[in-house]
Amino acid sequence: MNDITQVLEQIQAGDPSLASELLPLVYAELQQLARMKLSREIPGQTLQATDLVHEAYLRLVQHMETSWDTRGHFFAAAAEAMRRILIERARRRKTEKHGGNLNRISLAEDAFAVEVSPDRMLALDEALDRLADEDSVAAETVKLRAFAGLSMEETAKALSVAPATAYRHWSFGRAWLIAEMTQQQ
Amino acid sequence: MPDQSRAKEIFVTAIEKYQPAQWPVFLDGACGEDGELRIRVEELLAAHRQNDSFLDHQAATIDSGVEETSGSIIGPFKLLQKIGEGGFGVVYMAEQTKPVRRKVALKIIKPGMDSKEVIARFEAERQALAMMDHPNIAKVLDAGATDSGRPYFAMELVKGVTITEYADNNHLSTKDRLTLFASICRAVHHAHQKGVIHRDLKPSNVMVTLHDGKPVAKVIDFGVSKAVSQPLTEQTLFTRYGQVIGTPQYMSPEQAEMSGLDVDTRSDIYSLGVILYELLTGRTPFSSEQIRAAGFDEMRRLIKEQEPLRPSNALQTLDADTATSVAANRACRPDALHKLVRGELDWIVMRSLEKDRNRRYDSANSLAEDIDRHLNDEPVEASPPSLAYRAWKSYRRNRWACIASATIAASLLIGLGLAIYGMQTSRRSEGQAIAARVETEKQRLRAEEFAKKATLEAESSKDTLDLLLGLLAKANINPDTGNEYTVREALAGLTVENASRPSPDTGGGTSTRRQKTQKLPPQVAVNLHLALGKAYLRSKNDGIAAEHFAAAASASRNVFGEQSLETAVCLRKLGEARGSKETLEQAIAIERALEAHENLAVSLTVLGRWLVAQRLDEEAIQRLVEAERYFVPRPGVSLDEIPQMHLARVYRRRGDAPSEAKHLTLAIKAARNSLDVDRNGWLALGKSLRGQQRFDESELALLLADSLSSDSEADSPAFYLGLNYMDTGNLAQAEVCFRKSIQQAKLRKDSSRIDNSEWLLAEVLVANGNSAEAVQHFKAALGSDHLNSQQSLAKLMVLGLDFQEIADLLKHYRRQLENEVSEESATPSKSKSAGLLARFEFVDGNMKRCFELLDLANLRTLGTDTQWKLLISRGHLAESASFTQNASLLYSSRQPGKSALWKQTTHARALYHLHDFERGEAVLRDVVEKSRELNPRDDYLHYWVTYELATLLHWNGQQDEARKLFQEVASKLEEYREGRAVLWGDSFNDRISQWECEILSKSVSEPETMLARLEAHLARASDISGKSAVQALFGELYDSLGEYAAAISAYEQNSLMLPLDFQVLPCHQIDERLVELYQQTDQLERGKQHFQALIKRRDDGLPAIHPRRAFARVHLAKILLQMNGQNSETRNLLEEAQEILSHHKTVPAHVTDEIAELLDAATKTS
Repeated sequence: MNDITQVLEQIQAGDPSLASELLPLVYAELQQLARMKLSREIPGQTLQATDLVHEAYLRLVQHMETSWDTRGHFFAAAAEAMRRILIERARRRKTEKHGGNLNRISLAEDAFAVEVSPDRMLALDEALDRLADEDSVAAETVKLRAFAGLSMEETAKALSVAPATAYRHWSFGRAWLIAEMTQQQ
Repeated sequence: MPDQSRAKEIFVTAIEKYQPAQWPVFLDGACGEDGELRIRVEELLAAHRQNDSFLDHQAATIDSGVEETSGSIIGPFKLLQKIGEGGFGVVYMAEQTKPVRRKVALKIIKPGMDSKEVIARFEAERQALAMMDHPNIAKVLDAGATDSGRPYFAMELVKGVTITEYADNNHLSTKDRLTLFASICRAVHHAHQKGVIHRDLKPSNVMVTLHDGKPVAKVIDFGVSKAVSQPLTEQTLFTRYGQVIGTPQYMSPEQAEMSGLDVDTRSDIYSLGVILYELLTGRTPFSSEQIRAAGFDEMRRLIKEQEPLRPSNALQTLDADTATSVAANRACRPDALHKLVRGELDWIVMRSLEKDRNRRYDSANSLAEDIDRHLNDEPVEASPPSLAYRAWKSYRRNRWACIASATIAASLLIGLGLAIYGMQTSRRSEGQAIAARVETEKQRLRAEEFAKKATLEAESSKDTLDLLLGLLAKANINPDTGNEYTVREALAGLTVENASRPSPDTGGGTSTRRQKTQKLPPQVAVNLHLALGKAYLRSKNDGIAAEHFAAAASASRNVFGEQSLETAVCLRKLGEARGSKETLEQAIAIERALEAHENLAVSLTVLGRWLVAQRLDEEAIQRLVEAERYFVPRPGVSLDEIPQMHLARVYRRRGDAPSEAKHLTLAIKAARNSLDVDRNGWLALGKSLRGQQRFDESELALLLADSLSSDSEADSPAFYLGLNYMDTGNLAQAEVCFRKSIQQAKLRKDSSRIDNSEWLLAEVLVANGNSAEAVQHFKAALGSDHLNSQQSLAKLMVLGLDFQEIADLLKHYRRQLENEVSEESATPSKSKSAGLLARFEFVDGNMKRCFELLDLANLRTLGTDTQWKLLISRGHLAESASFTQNASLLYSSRQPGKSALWKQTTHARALYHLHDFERGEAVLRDVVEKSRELNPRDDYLHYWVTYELATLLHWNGQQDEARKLFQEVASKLEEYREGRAVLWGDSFNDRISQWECEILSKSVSEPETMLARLEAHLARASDISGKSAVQALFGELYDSLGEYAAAISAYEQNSLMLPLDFQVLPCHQIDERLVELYQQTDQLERGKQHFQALIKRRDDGLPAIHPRRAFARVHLAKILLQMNGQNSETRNLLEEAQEILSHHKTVPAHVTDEIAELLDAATKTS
């Protein structure tokens, strides 16, 4: 039995304090999944971060009898984990670019198809932290969509709000972040 | 800071309720006097309208919206059922009620496209589409948008299957396929005449329906592709997990280019060519696997540059089963199909697939006409491309790169280092540019002229030589020429402007072909002739080289004028090729006048070199000294261009040792400054130049290597220098070098090099008349290596030494050895002598005595791996195994290194041969570990044994570890491919691709991919061991897929192809598996025949006691045991096997036990 599934079941059984334990597990799972996929598939290809989250979901959670609440926990953890993976990757890319570090980025991290510069990615990360301080729901909405790849409806379910509300959070969070990043430049 | 939640509220209201144009008014009211709040909301609204590549990437891929389902109403259409799905979207059968009641096909485009734009594009073409009226074209009726905003197209409903499917299902003959295809061409032509280009022709857009029982092809989707066209990007072609969703197999090079170059009717002709290719051969020019494996950029390169195989050649690359089924689908046999396609159909297809669209058929109709001609047995218009054309095409292919750089160059007037002699020119242009900027109007005009010239030059050059040579190499082996040219023929074919000479006929055609003449621009002609001349000069074809240089010179005079560097270079090369002092003087005069000192130095050196060869020493010295004055060492200078080197040579001839030494030192210095090469590099270069008999340059390189060597370094340059001096008759120097080599080899205890050097020194001494000392050295050489001994004897005899004396010498020596060996006490000297004596016996064929002696021998003295291989090939595996084991123990305790490790590897192999896998594995593991410590620049051994161990483990069922090791090797190969790892040498390239295949076969799970790779490798494998290895892999793959028939035939091929003395790959397991498969599939009779054939093959080719002869018998016995009533024969076989194996000491128990059991069974059942 997978640890993640176990934790999710315990959360479902009514122990929400376990939610914080999900993050490291999901993080490791995503890394491993990425590596595994890369070792099997065509060389030179790239992975979509969000696809990976979905695949992890299909592997781990789909077959559980889970409420959307529980799934929400999973996706929240996955979104955060994927954010960290991508940020880590951006950091290393940056160091590497400045010649500080010749270590190669791990294969798994290197393979994500992210078409933004490391700088932009790091700026987004910081802005997201600030947004979380000001409007945590909006920040959560953006994370679920951008890092876990949830659709509007799924995001709404994960947040237990109506789709229209989720859409408002998303539009606001998105605009807020872009404005913030523009100002920081 | 304004109130966050208030700002959010106003922002959300603005975007949900108001159009952007209304925002200012809305904000006036909502924010009132609060300026900060207003600024904040305006920021947010501005941000709202911005794109963010990361954040929005998701929105596009996720919000796919609602799926239309059967029963939905879309505009005037009611969806009935889904009839197709693809990368573009979904196709439904739908019913239209107004204005007429009819069924249509409704194609709903996937989300993510701007429907307004799509529909606008469609509207733009609607009129043209409406004018199309052709029985073979399905009409596009309407376009619109669904409620969720997705564009759709309504089309005439075609009930049918794709053309390829139809043709295969109905086993259409090639002739019928062509007829059907020609009708498509005419339909496409009709569309083209109405100004409509399809842009996405592929089999799935060509449907076949039956009308009155006759097949009618219909081209669908006209107009759709253009409307939904989006720029070709990685995104549009590959989705998640790298799947290809576009159809790049059918895409023309100009479409793949993505340069925005307008796509025209000829793009459709290309796609038609691909369809025809597929109809003829069952595959596309580039397979989807090939494209998928290539990745985006590589895929584009492939389509733009890679010449596909001709259809007939493509047919030949199919494996037997596929070939049979492809042919059966065309109602004929594989060889007949090949014959049918070869020639005219090849040309027709290849003409349609030309990369340069100007060379394709000018219309779809011409393509149809050519097909008609073929069907009517008239000569076709298409013809095999000539070599001259290939050269031209290659230049064209690189032309864009050239022009692009020329444009930049023209503005900056620098960086024109593209030409063969680009460096000087570019410096000159730079100078001109600076002058232009600061000086008068007149000079500015000159500079402009120069820029023009520079542009011309850049356009024409792009290192024409490399291009050509690459091309020539290709021409020689190009599979699609279907004809073998020699390099020389290929060169002849390239005699540029005059493509009037008949091109080599590749296919036994009949027609009078119109040869298209390619007239090259003169500046291209200069470079082309120069390049050709150099190629000929290099292949020592001075006469033809001279013709080309003469042509280059005359072209250069026209383009650049007499007084130009270019013309001077041409003249220099001409003079060099002709050996004409006069011509060289012309070049020198021009260069002197232009004060082009670097060039002048080269020309003077060439002249000096020629004078040296003519023994005109005085004049040579004079010219070379002048060259020396102008000569500046710089990167890119070839060794031959260093004047000091030639000066040293003249001085040597004149016996002026101090001057020789001085100039050699200078030459070495110059060479060092010109080339950044280390000791091993110089050594390798020296050896290679030696191999090409370029002794002067070789000498220089070797001297450099020597000056950088320490005495104890392996493979001393002195040895090769000695050989060089021997070859050039400088015996005094040779003597010095061999003495040095002996001394160095002794330091390293490199016995074989000592022997060789001793022998060579002896030879030199004899030649120098010092036979007294020579005898001593011959003796030293005689001592250790029989080969050297024989050569020594022969030499002594030739030199007239008394035969009796020699024979006595040898006999005496042998007796001495025997005496030493027969002594009671075990001394190091005795053991050495035993080893030496064993070689005498070995060569004399007294194996028994040889092995006795070897038992006594100090194994350190036992020569080379070659000898172990000899032992193995003679079937003495056990002996070789135990000796190698001892030898490797000895080596590894005292002198761990490559040589010892190779010996150990040989030992492991000897163990496999006797099926002692356990010990073999242990030995290999040891080598793998030890070889890790070797110099990383020399890690071939390590990866080789890792690979060998992985293979062994794989066959013994230890898959996990095997895979890990294969991956280790694979990652090394990747590093090597990416240039991050050291090259092991060209000879390994073949092996590497085989490795790759094997590694993949054990890590790739998709059989499709694997099959394609294996096929590709089979086509590429150049030697029989490579081919048989691929068969083994095929066998394994089919076996794993449960396709036993195919597995059996692949295994059988492997078994019967595998070189008899092949040491590395296991053959035993395959034979074993064959036995099982024969039983499983109830084909014992076939098995019997196979193993009988195998026994015969091994009996014929292997020594009497070779274990493989025994094992083949054991396998046959197993088969026979399953077939009743042949048991006396079975017993005989097993007893023979026992007898063969009895010659070996270390046969493992499991082998002997198994044979005993089988014998037992055979006895009982009889």
